[in-house]
Amino acid sequence: MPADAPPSATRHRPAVAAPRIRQVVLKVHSRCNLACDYCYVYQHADQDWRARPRVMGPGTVRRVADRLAAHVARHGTDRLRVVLHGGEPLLAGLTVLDRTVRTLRAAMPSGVMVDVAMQTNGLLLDEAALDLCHTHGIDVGVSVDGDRAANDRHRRHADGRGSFDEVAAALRLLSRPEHQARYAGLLCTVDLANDPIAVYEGLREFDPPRLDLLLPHGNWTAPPPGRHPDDPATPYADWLIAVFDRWYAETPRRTGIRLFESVIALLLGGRSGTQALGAAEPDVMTIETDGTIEGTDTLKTTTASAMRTGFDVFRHSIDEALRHPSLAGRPTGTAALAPACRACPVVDVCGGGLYAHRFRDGAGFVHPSVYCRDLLRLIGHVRTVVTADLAALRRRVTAASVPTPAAQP
Amino acid sequence: MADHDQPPIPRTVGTALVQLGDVPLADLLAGAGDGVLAHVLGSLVAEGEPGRPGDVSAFESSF
Ligand code: SF4
Repeated sequence: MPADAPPSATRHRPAVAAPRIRQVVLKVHSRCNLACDYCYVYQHADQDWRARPRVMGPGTVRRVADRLAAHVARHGTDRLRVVLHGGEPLLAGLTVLDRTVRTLRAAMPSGVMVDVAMQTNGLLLDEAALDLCHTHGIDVGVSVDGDRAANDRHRRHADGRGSFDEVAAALRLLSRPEHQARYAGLLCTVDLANDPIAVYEGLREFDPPRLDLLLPHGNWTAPPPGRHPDDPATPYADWLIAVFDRWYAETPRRTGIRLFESVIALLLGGRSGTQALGAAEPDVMTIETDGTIEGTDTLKTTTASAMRTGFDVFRHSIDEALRHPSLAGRPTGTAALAPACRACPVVDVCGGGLYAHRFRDGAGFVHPSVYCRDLLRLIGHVRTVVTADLAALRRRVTAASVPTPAAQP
Repeated sequence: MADHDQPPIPRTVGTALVQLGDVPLADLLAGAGDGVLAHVLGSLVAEGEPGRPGDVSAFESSF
């Protein structure tokens, strides 16, 4: 069981009005046992991983824990989420993961809850790994791109072998009733070459509680595959709409799709659950195996220098690092948006898209998303479907509440 | 995710592009069944509950 005290225990009042973090991506292992050809860690601009230690050592973990503890105490935060990440986090070994989680939790002030999650490719996810996840309450997200054909298009071993059989075995294990409590969901990267319905149905076979559909990383300087910035075609919207229509028509709801549920929630005036929509606040702090502090990982797809804060847990506090432009120091809200976005009829839903997708070399991030046309079309489609569904629901609810006229004598 | 020490953002801050209309959200939810719309309406109701984190997902920062 988690060693955290309940959140009702000692609380700390915020002492300062300053940015704080609630989520940290901890790179516990810097290498991977797959060689996916689209991976931002190994295939994109930033190649710093080559110089980093493979595993985050115990001294670094202790320093991370102390820095985070000081940060949450300073800000009166009572909950922190840590995502064990890599490379492939399970390559670090279960002993290292166990020690890491214990060290983090032991350092926290009384009353601070540390939620721990892990994002894995699933290849090493076995009963022993799941035992550890149950012991510490670690929620597991697995990366898989759909059915065999879709998954093995990119998610391969270094020798070219596909990884589908291994990840499918792991997912059959994770979806067993005794492990369901730890099953956070699946992460799938969209590829236009894959059939959207086959991908959706392939993922649904694994009974995920939630799906994340990620648009491939890209920007105005390095456009995503098939997305030509000046082309009016909307191939990604077309792909996503095919999945949306299939998913939305299922009753009862079979699984959640974070992107679509965020669009619907934002259309109705609610909040986004994804960094890809709704002008999300600066995202996630990343800590590398050597203790280097960086901003959101997705910025690695832009330029090597965009991510580099120059900060590390040995010399700098979390608050110092947060001031960097790749973290809370960057413009947010409407100030961060391009004039075209500010004037856009769907800006309250789209929010300009994922920050990394707005990048243009030499001109920064003040642009619409490179996926602008796709986002506009997707949001318009969801809006049409939800408007009609809501109108029908209103009619049903109103009709049901109208009292039946008394029978005439 | 960075979070600024500012007053909690009221749920009405986002301009709703689709209006719920004059039927109360709770009534809509009660009649919505168990499809996707019902689930999202439920999450809108839950947003107002204390202790519920409004975090975006850190999972999706990865592949
Ligand atoms: S749809 Fe395009 S213009 Fe509108 S907010 Fe999104 S990125 Fe900006």
